[in-house]
Amino acid sequence: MVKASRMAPGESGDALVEAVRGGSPQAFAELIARYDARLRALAYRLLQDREAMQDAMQDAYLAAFRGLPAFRGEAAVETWLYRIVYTTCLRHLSRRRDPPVVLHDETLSAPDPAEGVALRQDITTALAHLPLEQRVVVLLVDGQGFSYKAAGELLGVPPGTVASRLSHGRAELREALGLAHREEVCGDGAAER
Amino acid sequence: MEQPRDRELAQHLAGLDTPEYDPGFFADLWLRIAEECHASAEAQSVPRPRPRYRWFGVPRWAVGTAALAAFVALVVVTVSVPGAASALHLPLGDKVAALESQELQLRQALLGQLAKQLTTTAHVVAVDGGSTLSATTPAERLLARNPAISRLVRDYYATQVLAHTPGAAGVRGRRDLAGFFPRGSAALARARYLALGTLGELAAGRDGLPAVDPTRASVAVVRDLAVDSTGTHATVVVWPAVEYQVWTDAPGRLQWGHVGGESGESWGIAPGGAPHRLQLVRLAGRWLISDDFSLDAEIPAALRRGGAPVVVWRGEQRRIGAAAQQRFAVSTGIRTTFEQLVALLNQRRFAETGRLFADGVGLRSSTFQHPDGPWRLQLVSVWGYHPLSERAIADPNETSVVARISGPQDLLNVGGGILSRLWTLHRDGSGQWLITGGGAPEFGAPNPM
Repeated sequence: MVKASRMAPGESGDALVEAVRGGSPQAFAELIARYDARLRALAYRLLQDREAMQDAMQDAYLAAFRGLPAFRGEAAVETWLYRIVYTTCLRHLSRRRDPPVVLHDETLSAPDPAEGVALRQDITTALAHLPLEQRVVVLLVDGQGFSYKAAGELLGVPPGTVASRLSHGRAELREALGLAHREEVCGDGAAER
Repeated sequence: MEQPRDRELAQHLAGLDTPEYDPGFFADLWLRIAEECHASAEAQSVPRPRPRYRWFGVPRWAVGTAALAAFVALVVVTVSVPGAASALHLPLGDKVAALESQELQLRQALLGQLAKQLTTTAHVVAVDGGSTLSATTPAERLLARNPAISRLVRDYYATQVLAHTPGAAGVRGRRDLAGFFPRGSAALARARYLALGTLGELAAGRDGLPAVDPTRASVAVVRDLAVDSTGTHATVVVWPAVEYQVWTDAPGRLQWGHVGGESGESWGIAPGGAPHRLQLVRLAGRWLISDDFSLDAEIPAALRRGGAPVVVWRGEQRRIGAAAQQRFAVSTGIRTTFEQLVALLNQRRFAETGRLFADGVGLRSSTFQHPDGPWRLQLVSVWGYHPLSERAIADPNETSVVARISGPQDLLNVGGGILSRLWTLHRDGSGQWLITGGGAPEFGAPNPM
């Protein structure tokens, strides 16, 4: 379910989706504006390349625009958009000839005196070395607050598979970052979708 | 059992930045979407002739402009663009008229917003360059599917405008050219010599006054694009129309205009110089220009003025000369038009030649010195112009050809026409090539006479 806080004031998600399904590019622009930052973040972390991210996002948005008239609302529009972005990224990855080389986060190119820079580079590198199926669940669940069920719907796998991949992904990330083994989980009430 | 987020990891992940899109990203996307809208609108409408002498079909571009402006209004900065969205829901005929009337307003709103937040040339070009993506030729559709190439073309010609500018901006522009070529390549050296040899030519402000703090735009009309099967090499034929510019004046107000004056067209896009053929190579995942070639005969002299060694400008002179001698096959339909013309004239069926001309007015008997004389014409050859000549036309339904027709030299009452060898043709809705003119002088490109 799409969180109410992401809705435009005075407008429901359904009304917006209906407007887009009616062929309104302006409504589609609004839909994109609502979710773009997080969709773009997912695409960038999956593809690890800015140019590839842009190509994939263009293709994904075009696919979404084409597909919206057939969108039946069985899943949340947000989940549906994520799924399109994810599958588009997979398609781009399958076409990629050279393995990605992510030794440096492109967003860190400007000098940044903050000590967090090194850590951000570490997690960028660690993420890049995770297998794709583990990386995507970490990004969705820990990065973007998806529930296992929602992530499973998006990825087309059962929640148990999400849990398993997440467990492995978290363990590898924590080890790479030098974090202590996670003995207990920390609740995050805002995480559920 | 489901476990909540790993808060520690979540904090690390939240600290990661995501790169922004290129400035042209949404312009490109929106024009692709506008193309979809237009295609579906066209499918529901009664077919009608495409308006001639327009660089971009009105419905397509108008829809694109409106959609783009609507997006900018909504997402980039809040700006009021009355009617832009509502026009998209009108019946097609009304929609076209409404959108046409809004075009200037939309464009100004768009550029105004961009000028507020963007400072580099490429940003403005992102909008203008995007216009080529809304076209529906196969090459332009291919271009739309290769946004990295379209960005390269767009930004390269924007940088070219800067590189031709005197002063610090020019120094920066010529330095920035390096980003488009393989390091140390001959193509880069040529581009720099050329910029130096034509310094200031592209940098004029309106009324000849230099622009203050100029943000100039270059419109590069892509005429052809081919990407090889490996996806590592591509050829783009570009007609740079370095005519349009945007700048801010001393009080910081946005100004915009055309270097070459108003052309009367809604977008005022008029190509300058000859088309260029860019050979592209993809190195380490990035498209770079391995060669920038144009048939423009002025280029060797400009290279020389720019300080190029003799081997460079003479080499370019030889290359241009050799290319100018090449002949290109034309479609069967074009040859058929001339075969029919010659046959009708040889049979003295003058009135019937009208069906081979776009305006329906053919060659009359009065045109000929001796209409009933024993003369006989023969079609010797028909060939197309080099795609890089100034005769190359961006519209796939227009073409220029050289047709050699033998016959007596004193055949006509007045000069030009049948033996002039230079013809322009237009392809009508049924696919037939009709003659629109003959005998127009060639300018700048190799003279086939």
